Amino acid sequence: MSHRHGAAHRRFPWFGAGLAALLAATALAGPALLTADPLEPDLMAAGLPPGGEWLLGTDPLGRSVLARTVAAARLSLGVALAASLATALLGTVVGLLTASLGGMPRRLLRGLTETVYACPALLLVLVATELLGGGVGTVLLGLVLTRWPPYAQLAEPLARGALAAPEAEASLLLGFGRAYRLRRHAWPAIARPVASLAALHLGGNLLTVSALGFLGIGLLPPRPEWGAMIAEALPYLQEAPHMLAAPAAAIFLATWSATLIGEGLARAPAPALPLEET
Amino acid sequence: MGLSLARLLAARLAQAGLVALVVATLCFAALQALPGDLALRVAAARFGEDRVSAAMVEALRAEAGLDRPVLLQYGAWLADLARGRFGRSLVTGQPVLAEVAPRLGLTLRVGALGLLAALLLALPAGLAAGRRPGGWLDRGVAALAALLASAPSFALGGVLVVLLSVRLRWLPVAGDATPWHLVLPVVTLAAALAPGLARVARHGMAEAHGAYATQFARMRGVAPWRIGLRVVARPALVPVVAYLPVLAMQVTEGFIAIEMLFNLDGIGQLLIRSLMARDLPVVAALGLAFALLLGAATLLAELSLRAMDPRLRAGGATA
Repeated sequence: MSHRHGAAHRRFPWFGAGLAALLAATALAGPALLTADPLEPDLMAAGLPPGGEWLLGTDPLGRSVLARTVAAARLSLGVALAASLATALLGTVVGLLTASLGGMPRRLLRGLTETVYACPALLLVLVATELLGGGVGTVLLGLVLTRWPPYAQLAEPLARGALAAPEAEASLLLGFGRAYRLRRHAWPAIARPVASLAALHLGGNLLTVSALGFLGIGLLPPRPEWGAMIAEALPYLQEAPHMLAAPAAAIFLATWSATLIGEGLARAPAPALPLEET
Repeated sequence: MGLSLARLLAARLAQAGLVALVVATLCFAALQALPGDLALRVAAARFGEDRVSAAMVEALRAEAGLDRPVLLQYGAWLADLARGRFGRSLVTGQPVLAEVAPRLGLTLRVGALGLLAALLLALPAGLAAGRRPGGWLDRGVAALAALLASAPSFALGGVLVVLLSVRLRWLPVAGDATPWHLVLPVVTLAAALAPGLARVARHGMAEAHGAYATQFARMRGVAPWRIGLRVVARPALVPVVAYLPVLAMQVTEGFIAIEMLFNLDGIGQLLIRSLMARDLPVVAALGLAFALLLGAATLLAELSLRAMDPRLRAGGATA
């Protein structure tokens, strides 16, 4: 039973990857394939249930829910993905530096990492986005500046271990510089864990972006955004649940597939001892 | 780790102070960078857009000290904050503390209850799942946790409201008048916190249960309840306690949306309102409150960890 459990965690996340590929394809190709306009209101067709002409019904302003959900995919998923990649990059670089430097610079970097880690990310992004003006750039910048510490904290011990290994020591003795050693020895050790963490954080970033949209801050209407669509659909939840179901399901599917991929990429946890009762 | 207690306290205090400083500076800088006239905006928020006159704006500007050089304003602002003088709300004119304090109480109550509910829900599930890693309970809990973690909490809350309040009329819809009003927000918050907590508890339990010490105790024939209490409990719970600051962070990220959804008059709604009205003193004071609360939660978790894990006290390496 225990080795079966260990093997299950090393399986490639087919379902998650497939789902993610489907979502990505929909986001990229969808708007071109759909004929309905996600922005143009048509009050004569407001609040229609799914069926017939409107596959997923219409929202309070008569716009096709399907078209809006698909159109919002690019924005929400794009921002979440970009945020994940940028935070992973920033955090990994800081982690690698912390691992390879010594003395005071390392202590400073560690202190910086811990301090930023303690910053309430959503609060800062909220305040910054509302006060500095909404828009993709501000939200992205806010997310990147506040969410990078976990990557640094993940990368540093792994990189240090890799740099202390005999191969890295040999490189050092042979005269190779820091950049080479980081690329050759530290990077393979951290690549997979960082990728796993980035996938797991993708869901969190998506939820944050949706929360901002839900609160009416940042990415403003009429640009479709999943969280904002949920906020608009709430008053009509009883009569027209499809208006909330579509964006909520979209967020759910995207987050779930990213989490599955992230967990699949992560190293298997230590297997239970053979003496374990099963 | 291995820091002495005094150094730990000092470090946490300094960190909380730094975070608060960053938040306050961000508020101040962002405000100053806004296009348009701050005094005009605040006057519009206070008196209503159509009733604002030039004389009112000028009077407000002088009263709030908005005509001094920026650096002077910043310095005076920081000095006031450090002394605990938060001033008055630019919108209502009431002292900021009077605005914040009662709402802070409500938010803390909902947050604490949500945390408690999450612990009651997730801890037994996670611990039970961890006892038999790979078993049906473990897989079920993991699947459920993954599903719950992927759902946006505000959508979940909305669905709960419609199901339980509107359709079935079991619970009130919104507001905070009675304790019953708090049930749905607490449940929604707990649903957001539970998955991560369950996963951490499961992992801690799996490690503790499979550890050599546990196997050895079992081989020696120690009674199971004794093993559970003396050998397994602490190693299993240490990751959970270490996870508390993350939970606190999740609470601060989640409750804003929950307060807006359920129309609770807590500091989340106050924050949104003050942000939209550009009520600088309130926003900065709330930022300070958040930073201090998070710092306190982290410090509490670290102190508990030190009490639970003798290795930290002795200054040796951990795990």
